[in-house]
Amino acid sequence: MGPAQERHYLEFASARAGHLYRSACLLTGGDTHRAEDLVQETLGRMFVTWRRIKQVDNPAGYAQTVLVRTFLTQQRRRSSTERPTGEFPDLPEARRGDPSLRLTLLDALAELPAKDRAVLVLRYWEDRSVAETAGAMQVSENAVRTRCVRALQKLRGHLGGSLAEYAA
Amino acid sequence: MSDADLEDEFAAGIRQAADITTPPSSTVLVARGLKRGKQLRRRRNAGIAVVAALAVGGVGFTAQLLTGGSDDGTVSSPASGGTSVTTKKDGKPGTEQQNGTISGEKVAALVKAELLRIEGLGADTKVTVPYSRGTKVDDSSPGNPFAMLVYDDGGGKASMTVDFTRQSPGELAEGGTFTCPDKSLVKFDSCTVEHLPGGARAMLYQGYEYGDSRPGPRRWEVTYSKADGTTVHVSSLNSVEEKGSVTRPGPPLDLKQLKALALSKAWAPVLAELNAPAADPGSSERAPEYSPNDITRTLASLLPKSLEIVRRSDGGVAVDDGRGVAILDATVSPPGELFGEKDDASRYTDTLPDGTKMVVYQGPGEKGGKGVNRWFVDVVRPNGRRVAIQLHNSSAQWKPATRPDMPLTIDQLKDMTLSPKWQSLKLS
Repeated sequence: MGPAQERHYLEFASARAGHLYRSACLLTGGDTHRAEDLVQETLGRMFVTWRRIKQVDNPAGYAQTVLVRTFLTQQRRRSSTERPTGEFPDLPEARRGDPSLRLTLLDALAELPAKDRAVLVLRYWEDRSVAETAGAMQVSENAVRTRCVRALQKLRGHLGGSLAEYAA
Repeated sequence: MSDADLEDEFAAGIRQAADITTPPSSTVLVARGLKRGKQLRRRRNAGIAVVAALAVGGVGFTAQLLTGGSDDGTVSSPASGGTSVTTKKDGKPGTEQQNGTISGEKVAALVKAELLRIEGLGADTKVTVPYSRGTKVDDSSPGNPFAMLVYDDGGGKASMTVDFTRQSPGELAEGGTFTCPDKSLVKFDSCTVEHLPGGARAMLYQGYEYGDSRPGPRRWEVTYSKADGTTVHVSSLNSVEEKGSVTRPGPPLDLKQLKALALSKAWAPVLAELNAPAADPGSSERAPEYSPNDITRTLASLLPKSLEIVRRSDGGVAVDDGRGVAILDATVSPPGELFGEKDDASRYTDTLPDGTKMVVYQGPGEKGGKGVNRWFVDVVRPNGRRVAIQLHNSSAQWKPATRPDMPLTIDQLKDMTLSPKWQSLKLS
């Protein structure tokens, strides 16, 4: 990569890092260290393929797709089976097992399997269509619809009430 | 509640949840992303697995190769004892297909022999070469030659990698490979650049897999480039896999040994067969930017006179008023829609009388430094230019606090961020 392209990449990365980090925090259920690691890996992968990416219509959207796919890949490596509910393996130590903490939406997301988190983040945070979400996750549109409905129902079940009041 | 109501409620909820998340400095994220990208690029050029599960003793492992920039190439598991890499042939343009005569096995044998010689190990030392690639046209995998070794010199299992690339004239001139990271952003122990005879350069680096306070393997490496662009990169980890568990106190090869390996004459036949890199793009592709030097100069000019500047970096300064060091770094983004995406204005909680959006954070640092506090002021001006400044009461975010308080008040930090001086920065 020549110096001009590297500067172009740096400008893009600076502009998108904050948004990528927020997405990563949602995906990791609030684990900020893992979120930073995920953003670092995503920006790293964008760097490697920058010469082609800068020709894409929507490099920002592409970066979000790379983030989600990297997250799912990392999750597959961390465990071959999806985590049972009731555990908070992704949460920093200070947040685990503290009954005085009100369950937040982030905590509830952390309880969901990785693919459920990914589909909810893409559909409702990234505002992707069903088709775009299916493309990003490399699954069928029907699978996206089904997973969305079930994931939202699981969330409501975990929180036991209205979702909006647990957002903060 | 209907499904539609549930969706609407969740959409509102997830936006609020994201809004309360304050990102760390983009300067830090980008610095680490760039470092990771250069590491991945070296490994891609050598066709090394981005993610590998290794085991000494012949247990096979699976890996995912980056081929031609794709991240979903598949490979066959190598037989025990190692084998040359074979992958699906990537027909994408821009992949590098070697056309030399040296096999992957030969490269592996060369690397193993040099490792045993330099570490003074016996020929019976158990060394596994899970991956290697040569320069032969028969190898169906595109990429530059390399070898990855796993072994135990008696001090615990470790891994090391040698890869061979050729930098373009533009890359050599720009010198990015030989730029040490900013120590206030990335945790490392030492980094030195040596200028050697004949226009060659070597960077000797002792750092970590994680650039912050998280525990993990140590990564020691030497990069050596000659004037013709041929580059040897040698790295040593006290782990058998990237970001894996630590298996020994430190990497087995010290910097002197790593440098000896990188400069070894044994690599001459391999380097002679490296393809010349693609030409650099022309200057017309240069994108406008704010000069890091201008950002640092402007930041420095806004500081109270009571603060002495003890160190400068790209976009940042370290200051001391006699009560301990603190660090500030600034981010400035040009106005307008970026890459077709609207600026993310939803997280700015305050609107000033002139229409400037602002968000302020005051709280603990997030990089593990004991007692560290972080103050962050982020504004978007009516013309769309974004300025963000963050302040830590330490000499680096992951290091313990160097002072009990901040050297500035939050109002001073706000004034600095809102200074009209930032408007006079020119894109160049």
